[in-house]
This record gives sequence, C-alpha cells and structure tokens, in this order.
Amino acid sequence: MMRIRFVHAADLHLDSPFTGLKAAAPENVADRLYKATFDAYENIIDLCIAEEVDALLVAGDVYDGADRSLRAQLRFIEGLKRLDTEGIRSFVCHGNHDPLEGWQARLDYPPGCHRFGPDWEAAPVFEDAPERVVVHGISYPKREVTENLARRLGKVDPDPFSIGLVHANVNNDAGHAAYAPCSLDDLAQSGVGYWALGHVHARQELSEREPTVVYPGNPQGRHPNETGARGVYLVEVDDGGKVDLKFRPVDTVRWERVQLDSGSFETEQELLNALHEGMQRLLDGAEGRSVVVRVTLAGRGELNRNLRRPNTIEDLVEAINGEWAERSPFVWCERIEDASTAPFDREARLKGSDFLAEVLRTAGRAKTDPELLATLGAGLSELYQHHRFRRYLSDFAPGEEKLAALVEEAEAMTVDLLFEEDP
Amino acid sequence: MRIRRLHIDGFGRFADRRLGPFERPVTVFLGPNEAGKSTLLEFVRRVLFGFRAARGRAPSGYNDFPPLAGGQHGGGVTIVSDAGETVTVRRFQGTGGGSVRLTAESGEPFPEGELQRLLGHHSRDVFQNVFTFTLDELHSENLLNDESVNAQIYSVGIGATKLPDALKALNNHRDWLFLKGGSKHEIAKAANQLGEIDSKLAEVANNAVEYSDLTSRLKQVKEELQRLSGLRRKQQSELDHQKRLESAWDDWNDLNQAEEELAGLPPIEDFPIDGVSRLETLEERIDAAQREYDSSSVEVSEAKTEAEAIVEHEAILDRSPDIRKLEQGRTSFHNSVRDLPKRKDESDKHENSLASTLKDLGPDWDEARLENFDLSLAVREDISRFQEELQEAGQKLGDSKSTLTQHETLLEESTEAESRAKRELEAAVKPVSRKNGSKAPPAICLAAGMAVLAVGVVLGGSALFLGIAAGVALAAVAAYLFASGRPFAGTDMEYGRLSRALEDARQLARQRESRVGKCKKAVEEAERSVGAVRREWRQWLSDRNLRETFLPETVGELRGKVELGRSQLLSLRSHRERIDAIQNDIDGYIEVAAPLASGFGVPFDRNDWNSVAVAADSLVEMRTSVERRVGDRTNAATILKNAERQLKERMSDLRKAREELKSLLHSGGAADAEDFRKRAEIVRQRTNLEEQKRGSLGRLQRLSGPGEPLEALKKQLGGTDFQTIRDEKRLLGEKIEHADAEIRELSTEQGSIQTDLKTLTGEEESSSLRAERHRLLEEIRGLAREWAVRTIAENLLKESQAKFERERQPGVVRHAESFFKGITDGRYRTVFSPLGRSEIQVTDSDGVPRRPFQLSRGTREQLFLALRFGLIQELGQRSERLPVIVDEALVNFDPERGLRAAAAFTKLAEANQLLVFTCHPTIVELFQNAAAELEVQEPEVVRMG
Repeated sequence: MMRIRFVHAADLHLDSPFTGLKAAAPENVADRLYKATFDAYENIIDLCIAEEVDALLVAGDVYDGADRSLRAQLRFIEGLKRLDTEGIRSFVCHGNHDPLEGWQARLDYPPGCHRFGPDWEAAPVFEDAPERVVVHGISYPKREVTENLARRLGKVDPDPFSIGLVHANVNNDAGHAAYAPCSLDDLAQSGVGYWALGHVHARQELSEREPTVVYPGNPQGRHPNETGARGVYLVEVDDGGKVDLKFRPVDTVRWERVQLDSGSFETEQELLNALHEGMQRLLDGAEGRSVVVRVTLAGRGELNRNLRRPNTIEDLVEAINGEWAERSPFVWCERIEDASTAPFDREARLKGSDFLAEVLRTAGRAKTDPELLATLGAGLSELYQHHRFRRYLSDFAPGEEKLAALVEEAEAMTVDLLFEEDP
Repeated sequence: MRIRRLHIDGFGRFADRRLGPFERPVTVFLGPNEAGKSTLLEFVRRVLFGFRAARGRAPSGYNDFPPLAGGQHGGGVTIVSDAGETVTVRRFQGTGGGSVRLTAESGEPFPEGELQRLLGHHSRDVFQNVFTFTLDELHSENLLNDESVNAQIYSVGIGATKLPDALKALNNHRDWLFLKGGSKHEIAKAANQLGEIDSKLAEVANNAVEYSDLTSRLKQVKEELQRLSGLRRKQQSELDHQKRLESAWDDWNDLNQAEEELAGLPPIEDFPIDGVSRLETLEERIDAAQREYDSSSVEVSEAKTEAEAIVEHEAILDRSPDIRKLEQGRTSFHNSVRDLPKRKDESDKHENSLASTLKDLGPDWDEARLENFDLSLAVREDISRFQEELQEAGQKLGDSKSTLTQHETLLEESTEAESRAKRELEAAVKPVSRKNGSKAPPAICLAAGMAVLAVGVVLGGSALFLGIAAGVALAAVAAYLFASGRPFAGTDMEYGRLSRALEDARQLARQRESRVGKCKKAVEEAERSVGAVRREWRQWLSDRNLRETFLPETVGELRGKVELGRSQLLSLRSHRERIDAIQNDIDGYIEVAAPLASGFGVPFDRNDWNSVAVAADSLVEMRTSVERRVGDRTNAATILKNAERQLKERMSDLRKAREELKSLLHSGGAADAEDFRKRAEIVRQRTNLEEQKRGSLGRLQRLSGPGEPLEALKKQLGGTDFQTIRDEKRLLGEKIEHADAEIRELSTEQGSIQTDLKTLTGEEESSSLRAERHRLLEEIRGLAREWAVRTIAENLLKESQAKFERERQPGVVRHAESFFKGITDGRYRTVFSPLGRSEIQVTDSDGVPRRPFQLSRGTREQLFLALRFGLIQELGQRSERLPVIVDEALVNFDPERGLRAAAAFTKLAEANQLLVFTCHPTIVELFQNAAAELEVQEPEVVRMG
C-alpha cells in the first residue's frame, strides 16, 4: 500500500544565466539557454501531473534573489498553481540564494502550497489524513546560515512518516558554501524518514534508507562543470516506510565536457573529423536534448604546434558550430581548450646545459619550492587586487595549486617562444 | 664530438655519397652555389637530431630534401665522441622523426639511448642557434639596431638569441591584456561593458518594486470592485422587485374587475359549446340548401324545354355521305373551276403550233399521217445508205468519164503521130494518088465523134450514152479512113525508119484505141449503176408515198419535221385529256349538289359555278348546324335526369338541417334563434371574465413564484399604489447608474494595471543581460588568466636568466674575453657583465668602458662571435663539444676582420671541430692564412659540385 508519492526537486535557480561561457552563443542557442531553467521547471510540473504525485517538494534556491528576476518568481508560482489546479500540493523551503529576507516580489502563492518559515514547521501532506505524512521544513531567513539546522530540529516522532525539507551542506561538501552544515549522523538521529535536501548541485544519494538522504542536484546544469543528465527524484514511500527512488531527468540543455587526444591526429582535418564524430555521439547520448560542450585538447604531437597558431582553435570552433549549433536540438561547442603540448622531450631537455634547460629546471623547481613559486607569481596581485577589477577577479586570484598549473602553462609558452624550431 | 664521415644514402641531390674521413680540426666545404652545401649541412642536422615527424604538417617553407637521385631518404654520420668512441648514427625518414640506429666502430650495435649523451644533451635548436653561424644572424636587425643590440649581444652570452624577442612579445601581449594605469586594455574594455550591463540590470531591478506596488493596488481595486458589485446586485434585486410590482399592477386590477363583473351575471349551465357559431353554421346551411334546391328546380325546367326541342332539316343528317362528298370535293371543285379556262388557253396554243407544223409538211399531212409515219432507225439507215450509194455511183461515173477523156486525148495524139509518120513516109515515097488525100474525112469523123461524145457527157444520162456511142462510131470511121492505103515516100532506109515509126505509131494507136474502148465500156457500166440506184431510191420514196423527186437529204429534213409534229401532237392530246377530266369533275360535283340544294331549299344554278359553290357551302353548314342541335337536345335529356335526382337530394338536405337547428335551440334552452343568441352572449361574457381572471392570476403567479409567494405578492400589491412603485423604481435606477459608473472606472484601472503587470512580467531582457554579464565575467577571468600566464612566463624567464647569470655567465664572459681580445688584436681588453644590468660591456685598450651600441658594426659582430665562442667553450666544459658550423658567416667581413675572425674560429677548432661551408675561395684562403698565422694544421678542403 502506498503511503505517498512525491517529486523531490531542488536548486531550480530559475532565470539564472548559464555561467562559465566566454563566447557569445548564436541566437538560437542563446534563446534556448535563457529559457532552459524555466523549461526544466515546466518539465518538473509536467512530470508531477503525469505521475499524479501527491506533492512536489522544492528544497531551496528556487531563484537567485540577487538577480531580482520577477519572471523567475512569477513562473515559479504559475507552476505551483498548475499543480494546485490538479490537486497536487507543493512544499517549498528557501535557501541561501532565495532567503526570506532577500528580495522577493509580493506574490500570492496558491492555497495548496506550503512555504516554510525561518523556523522548523511541520505540515501534513494530506490535510484530510494528517496521520499519513508530515513534512518538516525550514527556510533560510538570510543568506548566511551557519547554524546546524538539522540539530535544531531535534528528534521528531517517527510516526507518522516524516520528510525533512531543508537547504543544507551535509558532510561539508567542498564544492559548495558551508551553509547549514550538518553531518549525515545528525540527519540519521532526527527520526525523519526522508531527507529532501538542496544546495549541492550534483545528484547524490547520501543514504539509501533509515533515513533516505538525497540531493537531487539542480534540474538544469548551468555551468561547464554541471555535466550530464540533470533532474529530480520521483519518490514512493509505502506503508512500511520503504522508500523507492527513481531519478527523472528534466533538463533541456545538457552540459558535456569532452577531452580529445589531439596528439593522435596527423592533420587538422582528422582532428576536425574526430570532433564531428564526438558531437554526433553527444547528440545521440542526450536523449533528444541540446548540448553545450567544452572540448579540451590534450596530448602531445606535431599537430599541437599548429594548433597554437593564431585563430586555429577559433577556426575549429567555428567549423564545429557551423555544422552543429544551428540544428535543433543543437550541439554548441562553447570553447575548445588547448591543453596539448608540442612534441617536446622535456626529460631529455632537462639534462642539457643550455638556457632552456635552465628554464625547465626553474619551472620544475617551483613545484616544490613555494618561495620560488611565489617569485614566479609575483605581480599577479597588480591585476587580481586592482581596485577596479578585484570585484570580478579577487575570487579567482590563483592560489598555490592554481599557480603551479599556470607555471606549467607559462613554461610551455616560453618553450614555444624561445625554441620553436626553424623550418 | 667530431664528425668523421658522412654517408648519404639518399638526400636531396645526393645518393650513395660518401665523404670523409675528416681528420683535421677545420674542414672547408667549397663549392659554387647549388653545389649542395646547404643540403649537406641539413643532412648532418637531420641525421643527428631527427627528421620532421610527418610531411603533412610541416610548416610552409620547410624543405623535405626528398631523395631526388634515389636511395633511402637519410643516411649515416660517423662521429667520434670526446671520449674517443667512434659511433655511426644512421637515420632514415620515418614516423617520429625517423628511426635511428647506432653502430660502434666494431660493427656492434651501440645503445640508442646514448645518442643524447653523444650530442651533449643539446637539442636541435641549440645546435642550430649556438653551434651554427650564419650570415643572417650577423646581419640580424637586432645586431644592427642600437636600441636592441645590447639585449641581443647579451642574449648571445646565455645562448638564447630569441630571448629579447620573447620578452618583448610577452610584454606587449601582457600590456594589451592589462596595463596598470591604462584604460585601453582588453580587461578594461570588458569591464566597461560589464558596467553598462550592471546599470541596465539595476534599471530592470526596479521593475519588481513597481510590480509589487501595482499588485497591491490591483488587490485594492479588486476588493472595491467586489464590494461595489455586491451593492449593485442588491440594488438590482430591489429594482427587479419594484419592476415586478409594476408589471403585476395591470393584472392585479384586471383580476379585481373580473371578479366583480362575474358576480353580476346569471349562471347558465350546460350551454352547448360554440353554440352561436353552430347556430350560424346551421342557419347558413339551411339558407344554402334552400338556394341549391331553388336552383335545381330551375335547372330541371330548363332541361326539360331543351330536351323537347324540334330541329329543322333534320333529314339532312340522312344525306350525310353526299354532304361529306360536297365537303371533301369543295376545294377540288374550286380549283377545277379556277383552272379550266387556263387549261383551255394552253390547249389552243398547242393546237396552233401543230397546225403550223402540218402546214409545213404539206397539204396531204394530217394528225393520222403524222402518227403513222415511220421514224424508225431502219428508215434513217435506209436514207443514209441511199445517200452513200448515190454518191458512190455518181463518183464512179465521174471517174470513168475522166479516164475515158484522158485516153481519148492520148489516142488522138497517137493518131496524129501515126498520120504524121504516114505523111513523112508518104513524103519520102512519091506521093501518088493521094496527093490530095487528106486526112480530112477521118479527122472530121473523129471530130464529130468527139463532139457527139462531149454532148453526151454534158447532157448525161441517156444523152451521154448516146453521145458515147455516136463518138465511138465516128472515131472508128476515122480510123478506117486513116488506115487504108497510104502512100509511102523517101529512101529505103529512111523509108524503113519511117515505116517502123509508122508501124510503132500505128501499134500505139491501136493499143490506145483498145484502151479507149475499154474506158467507154466502163463509162457505160457506171451509167448503168447510177441508173439502178436511182430507180431503187425512187421506188423507196414511192413506197412511202413521198414525192419521187426528193433527195435523201430532203427526206432527212422531213423526218425532223415529223418528229416535231408528233411531239406537239402528244402534248396537245395530254391537254385535251386534262380539260376533259376537269370538266368531268365539275359536272360530277354539280350532279351531287343539285338534288341536295333543291331538297333543302338552297338556291342553285348549275351553270353558275359560283352559285354551285355557295350552295355547297350552305349545305355543309346546314348539316353541321343540324347535327349540333340534335346533339344538344340529346345532352339536355341527360341533364334533366341528373337535375331531377339532385333536386330530390337537396330537398332531403334542407330537411335535415332544419331538424338539426331545432335540436340545437333545444339544447341551448332557447325557444328560438334570438333567445339562443342572448343566452349565448351571457355565457361568452362569463367565460371571458373567467379567462381574464385565470390569466391575471397566472401572470401574478409567474411573477411571484408558485405557492405562498403569490399570496405575499397579492398582499404587497394590496398594500401599495402604482405611484409609490414608480417612485421607488426611479430612485433605485439612479443608484445603480452611480454604482455602474464607479465599477467602470475601477475596471478601467484594473485593466491598465493588468496591462502594466503583463508588460513587467513579460520582460525578458534581463535574462539576456544576466547571461551577457556572466559571459563578460568569464571573459575577464579568461583574459586575466592569459595575463597571469604571461606574467609568470616573464618571471620564469627572468628567474632562469638570473640563475644563468649567476652560475654560468662568469665562465662565458671569461672565455669570450679571451676570444674578443684575440679577434680585435688587443684593441679591447676586457668583457664583463655589470651586476644587475643584463648587459655586456667591454673596455678598450685604454680602459674606457663601452656598451655594445657604442661599438662599430664590425666590433659588435666580433663581440657577438666572441660571446658565442665563450658560450660554446662554457658548454664544452660541461658536456660534449659539438662541431661548430660556419655557414658563409664571414663573407661580408673585410679581409683583415675576416682573417681575425677566421683565426678566432681556428682557435675555437682546437676544442670544437670546425666545419666551414662556403662558395668563396677567399674564405678558404682566409682559413688557410689563419692556420698559417696560428701555425696549426691547414684546413682540409672538400671541393663540391
């Protein structure tokens, strides 16, 4: 016997733009990207209706308050109203991007929607049968919530079956801000049967049962690092409290990263052919969705020397997009990163006694010599801490690790500059 | 490391070419241009350091040196290491720079990994940039340019000639990306764009505030609208109530009035339904039945009169066949009467024509002869035959006569010739008795005969015959007279001749006489034949009763006339017959009409055909009229029968209607129709009033709703008056109007707010602005990263340079100084690098320091070479000493400088093998002289080409 059937979504980030794009997308692609978060949300609503679920749970970061997008809120409520019309309830908590104190347009939520306030509240899913399922939820009053909210909830009665709805960082996920931090153990202690979490954009099933702890991830990837299928969980809980999880992709545009060993190609044409094949594979694997791809060329070969010539990479990108970006669904190559190296026997050259050997040795030493590394990185703060640009760059000022990577790039650049062979 | 031997398997123009061994410190390869020096140099580089990986992606300008003369692309270079190992390096073009194989002197394979060591771990580019001297680098712009010469000279010392360019390129790009204090760099540009977008986004952000204001106002407006709508509904309902009372008012009045009137009328029970109308119907029925009965009576009496009527001349119906004849023959009669005179005229004309033809034929011709005359084909043939026969016989006769005349002429000539011959003979013989004898008698006879014949011919016929006979007789007499005893004269000979001539003449005459005789017989025969034909013709004419004098042609003409006459006769006869037929028709018609006319008193004159026609017409008409009248009488009998039956039926109808009326009056409780009507009127009034009452009640009930409310409504109506209702209604109408105006105003505001909200919610620009903002952020970060890489690259180069300077430069400078002193012949004493200056300086013999840009071009070159030598020396102390290549580097040196440079190279060759490539014999001399000066081994000269 089924106790409840619901959809668990989080981090909708409605109307938030795709980030990490350096190139301006062609019109058809840009249009799709602007709408992608909305389209994914529509897909969630459609899914709820098609699956005739009892409720939709949204675990925070519905929109980015900082963006002040009226459209985002309106469209969100429109979707909830559709659910309300179909008799499907909705439960929403707010996270660090859409805290209660943050910017919000005054809008009416449908009666079937329950928005949680700044303190833990319990709301029954079925108003006529409150003993079946209760949702415990809490919203961020402000952006920075560093309190362990799971602990604040304390212990709840395991009967009726309860769901915890909160935006939180479990086990200190390094990829995301440490808001409402808690441990898996904190969650396990709570007596909640299903933890519907939000905040971490990568899908994670942290605990399979007792309690079930799930991050559905964001339903639409918005960044080169948010690759692969994105969606929500369709959850069924039977009378015995047994939870069944089904992931359902709802994204409309998929991010992919492709690495290609350009060292294995003899000519640009071969490389281009391989890229075309790669695009076709992406399209085939995207289940009818459009794809934005970032290609990284790696490896070492004679061809890579040519790739560094001015405009070569740009021409490749143009050739790829000319073929794929205007289709529907499209594959848009957002950029090709050249991480390849020219045929260069670094080890052999290190044994030399000439200046280049010295350069290589210096660069190599920097990896283990923080002082030298700092010397090589000297002057970077001129830009990264520049009064005008630091607000764009300060977060990106290279730390030690990144600096080491930059040194490697710099070394390759000096090799090219100093010792490119004559024809 | 030294190069001992070369074996070119296939490379450029060379195939299976062996060079070496090169034993001396300096080897000069001398050959004109295109002799293959560059090829050889490139061969050495590629075998030692590798080929390009693949042809497909070699940069433009890259020469592959394919084996044009054959052989495998590549070959071997035998080298001797500083440690004395002799190793042959063999390399051929292939993947990954070509496969390399090392062989020791013993022929044993030498480990391939050792090659790097043998080459001092130097790369191809170090070999190229440090150990190879070309003309180009000595002429490079950097060395000539005062501004860059210091850096260039300095970089030579550290073995990185591209270092100044590299640093410059890095710096330029860095500044393009970001320049502290600058405003045109790429990051600033992107940041400016970002600023613009941020301000646009700030504008859009206000939309939300506006949206909130608008939504709250909208809420107010909606609430107010709701309140007003409620109020208006209430007022409307009150108004509707008043309207209901108003519309009920008339019915209310009617109801009261009907009840009052009903009370004043007596009740009448069971009055027949539709009594009056039934009464009227019955009365009408009785009237109609009476009228029909009367009309039937009239019909009966009229029919009776008609059925008994007498028809005059009814007997004519018995003569119907004759009347029909008259009727049918009427048109024919009319035509006959009209045509007869015309036909007679025509007949007369034909009569005249025939009379004229008969007159032409002759008096003994009449119609009978005309008809009997044989015009058959046989007759025509007979005529033709006679014509031909007569002509033929006549022709024959003519021909015979003409022949006769010819022969008679000939005979006459012969006779004359005979008589001439006779006379001649007689003249020759003495004329004896016949001197007087003349020919006259025979001639006269002949002439007479001829004349008779001629007359006969002219006269023809029997006269001709007689003529011929008489002529012939006379001619015979003449001949006799001529022949009898004629004397002869002349000599014997002459006589003989004459006699013979005479005899000949006589014979000819005899022949001709005989022929004349025959001709005469032929003439006679022809004359007989003509006669026979003529007789036969006359007989033919006579048989046909024709005049014997007619010629066949005449008979032909006659025949034509007969044909004409006969056709005229035929035509005439046909006319006569026609006239007779017409006349017969007329007579027949009259014969039919005449008795009828007299029988039925119609005027009639049989000689006046017009009156006959009129009488016939009258008779036909009379019969038709009689027939019609008899028919009418027969019909009238039938009608009478029917009319009598109808009369009976109508009488019954009338009786039935009267009984029904009586019964109706009785059922209405009335004595007569008038009473019935009075009672009916009372019943009608009561019914109407009841109806009125019911109607009013029904309408009131509809207004009030069923049941109790009706009583309430009646009570309300009873408790008010019409004026009060109207006043109340007007007041409510005004209130509603006021509410409507307010609602309208608020609705307009609501619509306008909704439109504004729609515009605000439809705003999509901010999405694209945000996307663009993120893109620009990413761009800035990307640019920053590029800038960072370049900054680090620059730092890396500088750091490496500093280390090199610290650890290596002293050695390089020390060696360089030694060379520089030698090359400049002691004009410069020291070479040094001032601390922290990244620069090389020199001091001249007077101890004056000079910076590179302060030196002459030649001295710069020498300093450049010295530093290179210094570097080579310095490198040599740490690793294998690679051979030094001089590729036309000294060509532009003046002889003195050239000699000093050559000497410097030669000195360098003490440690590093020197290979000189040149096409100038002077360079060879230069090195020979340098060797002589330094008292070292002479260079080996390898001549090429």
